[in-house]
Amino acid sequence: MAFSRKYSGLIRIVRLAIGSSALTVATIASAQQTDERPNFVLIVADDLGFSDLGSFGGEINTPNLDRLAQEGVRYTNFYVGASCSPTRSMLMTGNDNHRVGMGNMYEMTAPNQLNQQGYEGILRRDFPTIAELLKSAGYRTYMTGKWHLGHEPDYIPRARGFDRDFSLLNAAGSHFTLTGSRIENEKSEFTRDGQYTRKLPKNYYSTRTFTDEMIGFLDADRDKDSPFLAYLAYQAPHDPLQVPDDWLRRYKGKFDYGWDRLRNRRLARMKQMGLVSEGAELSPRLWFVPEFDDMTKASRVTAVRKMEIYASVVEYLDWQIGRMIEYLEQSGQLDNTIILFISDNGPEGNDPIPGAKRQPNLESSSFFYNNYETHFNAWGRDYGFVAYGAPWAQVSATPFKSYKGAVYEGGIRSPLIVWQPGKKQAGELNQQALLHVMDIAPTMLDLAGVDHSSMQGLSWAEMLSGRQLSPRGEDDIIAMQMFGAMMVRRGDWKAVMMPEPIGEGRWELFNLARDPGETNDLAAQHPERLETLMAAWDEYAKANNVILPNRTPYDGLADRLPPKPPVVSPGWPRGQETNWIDRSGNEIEE
Amino acid sequence: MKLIKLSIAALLLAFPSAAWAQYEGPRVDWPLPRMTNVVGVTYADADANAAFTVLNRVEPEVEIESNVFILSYTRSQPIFDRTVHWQLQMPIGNVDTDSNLPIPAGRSFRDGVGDLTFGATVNLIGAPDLPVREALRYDLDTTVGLGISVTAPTGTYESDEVLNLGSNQWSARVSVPIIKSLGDWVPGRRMTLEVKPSVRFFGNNSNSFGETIEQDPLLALEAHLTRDLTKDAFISLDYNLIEGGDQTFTDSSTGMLVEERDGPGAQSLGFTFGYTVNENLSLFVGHHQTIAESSNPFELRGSLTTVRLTWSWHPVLQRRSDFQD
Repeated sequence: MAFSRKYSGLIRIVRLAIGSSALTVATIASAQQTDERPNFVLIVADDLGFSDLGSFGGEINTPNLDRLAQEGVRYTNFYVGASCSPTRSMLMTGNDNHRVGMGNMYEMTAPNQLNQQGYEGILRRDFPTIAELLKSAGYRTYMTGKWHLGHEPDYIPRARGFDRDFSLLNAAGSHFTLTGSRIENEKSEFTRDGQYTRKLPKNYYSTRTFTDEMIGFLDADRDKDSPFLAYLAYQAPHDPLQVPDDWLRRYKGKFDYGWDRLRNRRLARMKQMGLVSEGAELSPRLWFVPEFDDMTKASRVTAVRKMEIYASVVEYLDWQIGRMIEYLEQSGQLDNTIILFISDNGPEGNDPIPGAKRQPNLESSSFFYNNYETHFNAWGRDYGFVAYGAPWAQVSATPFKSYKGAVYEGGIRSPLIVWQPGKKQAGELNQQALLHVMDIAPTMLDLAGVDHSSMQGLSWAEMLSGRQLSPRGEDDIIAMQMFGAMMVRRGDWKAVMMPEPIGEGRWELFNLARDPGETNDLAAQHPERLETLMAAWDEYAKANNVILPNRTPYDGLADRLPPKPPVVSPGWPRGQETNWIDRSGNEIEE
Repeated sequence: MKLIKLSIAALLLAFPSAAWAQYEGPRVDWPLPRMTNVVGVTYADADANAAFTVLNRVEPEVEIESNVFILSYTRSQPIFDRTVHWQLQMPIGNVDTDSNLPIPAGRSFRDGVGDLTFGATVNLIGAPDLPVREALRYDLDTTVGLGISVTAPTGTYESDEVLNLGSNQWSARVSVPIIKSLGDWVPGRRMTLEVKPSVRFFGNNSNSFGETIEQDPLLALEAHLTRDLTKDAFISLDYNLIEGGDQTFTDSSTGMLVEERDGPGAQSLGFTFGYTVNENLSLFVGHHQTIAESSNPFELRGSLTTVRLTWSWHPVLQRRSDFQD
């Protein structure tokens, strides 16, 4: 370890010197570039749902991202991994996560995946990152925020191509302090410009500080001629949901009508905005989530506070993104900057607290009560821990099914906004393009004039210039595997195999254009189509060294959840409009 | 739904039952959920130069020991969408003195009931009507209330006795409880500054040893700095000031002035410790001592130790709790 740390810089230089062909090509290409190459600002939210932003149908106040959407393009068929670091590995390398070391989450590696190539749980060094490639091409490269692709000196952001960084290496943690988020990482680890640090800036709040740091990096190098990559990987709105005190009650009472009506309301707005088809139906409420109106009034109050805090966290995030844009604008750099905004996966529906409370004798449970307060009134504060759980995650994923971790659309469909200089295609809504997170690296390289042929992702350059609607043709597929769940999409058709109890434990078939909520399984009606898609998934698995895990989070889950009802509850107003009630019991006018 | 139980219990923890003539204690004016009921019993042990329940006859150089239980019932029942606490209370117990100093004739021991007090405190700023669901998410920041109470001369009283539990006079009190939260409104972390100015107006006591006692309004200022020690316990530093209440004694039959006395002006310092035993039962212990003695011979001097138990319940939450049990 000590040796590794001591000589990490040397090792990195040697590796870069003898590195991949892509690196060599990149270096050559850079010599031919001018300073007019665009800057890139890549903004990643953590666990944000598809419909949380105003511009994607949400009611949360997100004026800055909505402005980006208004002046840029929204894409509705953009796919990310079902969980965090697999997505980030694809984002950084332009290659499938099973190839680059993130075949599974480091924390979740199955016994049969241990010591297997592609399942190291860190980002393999033989796949260059977008930062390394752009740096070699003369770009300045900056990162602030969550990394989660490796802790060792050879794998931290500085070692993977970022000139400057202020990075959280872990999956999550307190947004205000060094307190970690799980027993596995009791204290968060950070790096600053390649040096490990546990010293946080004054008045640290992750969202604000990551923005401050990025603005600081850019401002310090403001006079430099070369273009830059700014990777702003926010930790929000990952749990624990925390926000400065004066933002805590910003949404008090705003969600009193509950998750069922909120989903209906979002769907109605999404239809109005053209984000989904008129005939789209919501995925059914998960069987273990009660109908909101069935709960006692007191329980509703505690339930809605979670969403109130989540919304505040998201609005704060939007505000900070606004600060970032404002800085670029005022410093005159916006005119040559392409901004991309995505989420790393679907919203988080798992709440660790109920499980911990059921087993208070475990160390993993004691971590929570020793480090956080979980009282209702402490939620959202710098010492409180709260996650908003499955009911609200389903809202964030509207109209899709399930949430983070699943390969139903709720776990893998992310909002995507691309803002280009000159406000190209301003306000357009692209529903045709079938896009994948591993396209982003090749797109940036393409736009920077750097070779990206070693990457599996497809460049969007033609699409962004308006010459093409989608980088994928009719036969191209998008496929994934996570925790034993499998999906493959070609055109409007998707085959998916979700393990029980979240899924059916067998392959299902959906037409996503007509049925984005994955409510009508067409496997029986179109067996041949399903066969074809399953074969395509097999090819994908073979090509990408997919090793299905022999242990997953779904094992035993059925025993911890109530049994599924035999039929969908007739009380569930799937997709239908209902009256909305305010705090005083009055109907709310639309 | 333990969460709800805890929240309500925390609010109830401090609810009042004790009410010394001018002193009520910390956290008694925290807004309660609508329909909350609190029954309390306070044992007060006072050693002072006045009977615990009566402030119209301070006797210099006399030590009177009061052993009084105060029974109280409080209900939170809103009016016009504002939180209102209605309260009824009655002292019962004895007062005693073993002093051999010359005091007016009479017995040195009296027992019986004190005067009945009925009052209401309406919150004007900061705490609207709080049904359970609103009480749960209520974050106290600043509240200002208006309290009015009337004390009727129903207590045991004999005109030829110095020691009485009843006062033989009507009185009415107007108070303005003000609460400012100084920290996060999270059990275990709450901190408040509470100030309550009040004024009590007295009717005449028309017969005390054949004299009529007229008493000027008595001004009081009660202040508490409270802090949670844990989710279930708090400590309070208490300060109390009383001023005014000058007395005029006239012969009841002739109307001639007999005597004029300064009021029982005094300051006291003390502490209160509160503990929530369970979701219904709370315990409070306090001790207060007068300070800054002046040359006024009729100044109230002494100490007061109280132990209070309250039993609180809310019909909805109670049913829920019973069901869960």
